[in-house]
Amino acid sequence: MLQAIIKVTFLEGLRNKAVYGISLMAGLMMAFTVVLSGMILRDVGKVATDFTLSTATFASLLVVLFVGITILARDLERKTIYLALSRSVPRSRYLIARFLGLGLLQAFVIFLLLVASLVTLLLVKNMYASYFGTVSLGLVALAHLFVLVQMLLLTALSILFSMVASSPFVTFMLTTLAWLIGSSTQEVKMLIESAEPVRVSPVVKVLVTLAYYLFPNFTLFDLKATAAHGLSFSAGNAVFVLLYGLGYGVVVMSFAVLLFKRKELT
Amino acid sequence: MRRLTNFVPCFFALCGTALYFYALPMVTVKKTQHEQLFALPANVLRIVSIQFKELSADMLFLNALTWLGGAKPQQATRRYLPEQYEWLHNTLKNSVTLDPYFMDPYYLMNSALVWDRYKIEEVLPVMANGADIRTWDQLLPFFVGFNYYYFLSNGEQSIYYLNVASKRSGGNPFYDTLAARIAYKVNKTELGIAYLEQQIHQAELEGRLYSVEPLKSRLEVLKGIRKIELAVESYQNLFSRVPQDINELVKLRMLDSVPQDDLGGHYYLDDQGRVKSTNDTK
Amino acid sequence: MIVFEDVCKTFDLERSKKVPAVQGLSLRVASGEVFGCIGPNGAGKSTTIKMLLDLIRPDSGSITINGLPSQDEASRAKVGYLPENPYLYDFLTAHEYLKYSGRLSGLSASIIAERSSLLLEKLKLGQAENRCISGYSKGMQQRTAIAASLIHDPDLVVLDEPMSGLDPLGRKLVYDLIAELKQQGKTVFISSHVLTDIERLCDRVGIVVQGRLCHEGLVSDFEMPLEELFLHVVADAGEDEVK
Repeated sequence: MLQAIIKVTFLEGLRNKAVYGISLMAGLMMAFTVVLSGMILRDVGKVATDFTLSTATFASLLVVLFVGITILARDLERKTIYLALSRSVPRSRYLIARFLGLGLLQAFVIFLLLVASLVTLLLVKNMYASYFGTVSLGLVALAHLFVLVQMLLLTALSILFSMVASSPFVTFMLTTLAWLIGSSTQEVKMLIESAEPVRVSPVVKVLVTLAYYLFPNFTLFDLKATAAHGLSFSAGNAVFVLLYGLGYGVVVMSFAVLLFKRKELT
Repeated sequence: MRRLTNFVPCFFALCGTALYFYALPMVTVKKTQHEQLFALPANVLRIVSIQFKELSADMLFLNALTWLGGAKPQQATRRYLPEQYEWLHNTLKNSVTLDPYFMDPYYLMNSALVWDRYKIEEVLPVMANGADIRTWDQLLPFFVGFNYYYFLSNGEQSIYYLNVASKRSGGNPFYDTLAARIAYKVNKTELGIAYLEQQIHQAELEGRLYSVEPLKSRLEVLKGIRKIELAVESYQNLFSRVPQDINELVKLRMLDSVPQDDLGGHYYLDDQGRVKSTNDTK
Repeated sequence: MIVFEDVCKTFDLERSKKVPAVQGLSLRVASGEVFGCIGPNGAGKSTTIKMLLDLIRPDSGSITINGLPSQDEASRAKVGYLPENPYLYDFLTAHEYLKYSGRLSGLSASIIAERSSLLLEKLKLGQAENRCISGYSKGMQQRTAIAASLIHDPDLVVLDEPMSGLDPLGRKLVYDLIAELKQQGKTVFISSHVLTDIERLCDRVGIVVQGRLCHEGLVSDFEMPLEELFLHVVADAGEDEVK
């Protein structure tokens, strides 16, 4: 039962035209990376890694925002959800299966992006071997895994928002905002707490601290600099980040399931 | 007829695209003529870049590089305008604020700002910070070490960074001999001797015997110079003036013999009694 | 099979306006019976069906299917549902859609294959089964949805406007299918505006007006045509449009 829902969700994503558009964009960016590498003076490998990882992050973000949200929102809006819920499929299982299906879709897309990134980097390394620098391909692969975990967490958030939002557009805006806030709270908090002579209102300080602890810290999943420069990254750190993402995702999905159980499907 | 109506919008789209690409260089030229004077503050950039800080750093660097590639210095002064240097400075500084590990902005800072002697006291500490952070890189500390002596006559910082470059290069004697030479130039010969002795000891411990010879020969030179300096000090204590030349010190047996300069020149005393070589260049 | 006991449901609209959709509905549908639920637009028929399937929850009262409360998923193990104006996953083919529907009820691949080819043949969808649903007409989509609601051989079939969007041929096919279900002893709950079909197919009919069950009885006991009875009941209930 669960497998059927996961499979249909995955197929729905694969057969969505937006996925092809996103893949094309990602492919073009990767090709552009090879061309751009010729303009860099010394840190060719680092710039190529920045571009490939940024492409992977951006493309998978687009999949969450334009494919993932559409799938669930359409399910609720068009009442295609009635087919499953009118059977003996518990609501919690349905939602979790949908989430896993979207997760499978993300994993597939990010796997393709990983292959494209590695091919691009190996090509650049071959062309500019002495300027490739200290790029760690192993960390590039880990960075892609972190992007996947990040996007799974964002998907869980989008599901939570779709339970309370009145339209898919509102879900889209809330998810985008959540990502923007989660990606910048660390910087803003550091800025406010730094010794700069900038007067900040106490209300702003409280709001920023609240946002920092409430929203997931997506910068934890950003491994671009580490991979591009081959910096050290401990296994303990990796495990912590993965557990953080998993834990947060479980909490978010629990709330989403709770809300979905009470939702009236008029 | 239907095929013709399908063709017409395609034709206009093609014309529009061609016109766009034709007009683009003209707009770009105007942009460089008016100069890109606006640079966002670094902390705003860090927040606005969200998870794409490194990409933003790359784009800022490319922005600076392409501008430099197209910009023309003033004919009379052969320099850019002050606001252009300031924009370049801010852009490169922002780039390394977003990604302090990125080498290329430091490289451009060195070539376009430091060597044009623009705000060296501000630019060099930024480069030094990069040298500290890029723990695997020997080139940047070499640049920093060199610049500290050459532009700011700061021997201490110079020796420190050349030492860093030496360590990271696995004991390249080039950096060590240069550090020793700089110590001598800033009248800190004793410091140079201590530095070389330490480097030789370290090289022997680590089995890098290939680098020991050049260091030992430079050490001998410095020891010779130090002997002259000590002899000059003794002379000054006795006669309350500087000796006329080194031969006077030999005559008074304050010095056994005149040490040899390893580059083929010979040593002399300037009017303040400082030991100089005919090979010294400024 | 189905028991509604004093079920009430009120919807909260904007500006604190409350709309009573269902008021004190008490109804029983016996096993093997074909029950027709008719009423004017907005009478609460679809709301009643959605409460039966736990898609929305009643404010008060109880609903049971085979003795199990409607909130229990197990009560719907052998229930097939056709919603009003169904949307289907248009990226799937009919074949894939029926396979998905069968899997939701835990059917094996072989049973799904057997039953889906049978249903698609009966509903004249055999030639289009491997085309994406996005390319189907309204009638074809309706028939696909009916097939999906029957793939798991349910004991209770709930059909909300089954004839909607069908041409006369499609209506004949669906009519024959419902008649077959009746012969098989299935319980069928139909909500429809096509009174002639209700009169011919159903054993009992309930007329719902403004959320209340205003009339209920065996079709064989009706003293006048169903349409006439319907108009009388609606007028008695104070429905302004009919007056």
